[in-house]
Amino acid sequence: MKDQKYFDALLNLLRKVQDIPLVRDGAGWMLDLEQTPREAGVFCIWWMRGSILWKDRNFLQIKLSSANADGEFIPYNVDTEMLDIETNNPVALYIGKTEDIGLRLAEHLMLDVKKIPDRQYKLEDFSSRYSRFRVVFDQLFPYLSDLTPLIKNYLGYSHVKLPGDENVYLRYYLRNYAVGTFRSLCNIDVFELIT
Amino acid sequence: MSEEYFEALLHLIKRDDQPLPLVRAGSHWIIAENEITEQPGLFCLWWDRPERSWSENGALKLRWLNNREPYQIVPLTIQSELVRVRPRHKFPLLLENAHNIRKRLEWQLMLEIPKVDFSDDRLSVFSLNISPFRRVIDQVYNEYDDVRPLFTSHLRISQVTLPDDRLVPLRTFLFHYALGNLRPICNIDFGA
Repeated sequence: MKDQKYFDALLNLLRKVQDIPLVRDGAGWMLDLEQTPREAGVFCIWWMRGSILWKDRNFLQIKLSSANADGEFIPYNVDTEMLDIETNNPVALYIGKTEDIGLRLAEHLMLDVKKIPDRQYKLEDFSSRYSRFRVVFDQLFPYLSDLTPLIKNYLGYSHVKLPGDENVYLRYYLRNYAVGTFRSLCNIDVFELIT
Repeated sequence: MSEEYFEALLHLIKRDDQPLPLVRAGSHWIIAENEITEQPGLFCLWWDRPERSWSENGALKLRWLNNREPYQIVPLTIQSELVRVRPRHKFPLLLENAHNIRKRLEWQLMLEIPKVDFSDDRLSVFSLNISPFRRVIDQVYNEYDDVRPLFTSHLRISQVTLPDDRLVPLRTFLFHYALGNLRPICNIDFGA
């Protein structure tokens, strides 16, 4: 019986945060795909080293912008009260569903990109050139020119394996339930709301 | 912004439903004037008192257009308990996060079309021009030439308006939270 308790049990699995396995890639780093699951499922990227960087900025609101369906940039604010950043618990940043957890995680982290140029992306780039995660994450630290040290040192991930076509609905519902429960900042998707 | 606040809003969506206000306008149907807001917010469409079962042996069988390339029509067999399809009780069909609730509802209902013909496998029939709501209803009630009269007797709507632009993130998170709780069948996509 796949009732709410079943979904809550899956959510608890998604709370088990671990380090992101990285290996050297020339002068930089890349995700170690041999140490990450290569199956379908739901994954979450977490800010896991406490909230000191967020607190130091004395955020009451996080100001972000995103493109709407017409390619216009829409500013919006996120009340930090809505996010669990006043504690030292890991903070969920992005939750996704995928047929290949390792591959999708690598695509979202974009460890070969130091910084997404501020507002240089258009709507078509939003999904094709830059990952949703990095587009929002990079806006949180406008004063940094290289985000990869933060990604390497401050982020973790978790996952729930739900392989096979028979789990496509579970992956869909679980991903949405997790976004709503953890309120993962980088999942806010403005351009879908303007229709 | 506590969990209780989300639960309270979810409770409104679950409990504060009303019959869909449709009226005849000549040969077709329209949403009654001033009955549905044009403000931003969430709305949920419910199917109430189904006169026959939607599922066989606990499974609901439909066809779907997946949303990843190569686009193709795929069979959809889903456990009815997962999407809460139950006989004689209302169940959630569709949850929407809309900038304009009335316009979004109009698009989902497609009241100008009596029936979508799913009898062949042309991708265009399953295209994104067909709303997720009508993609399900017109398949389930395949024996009807015009499904719209069913809307007046079975369709209910609940809505929560969250008009302040500053509430966009809240609306987003509430939408996802409610999706995971209600698991409405018309929201299913196939993206990975």
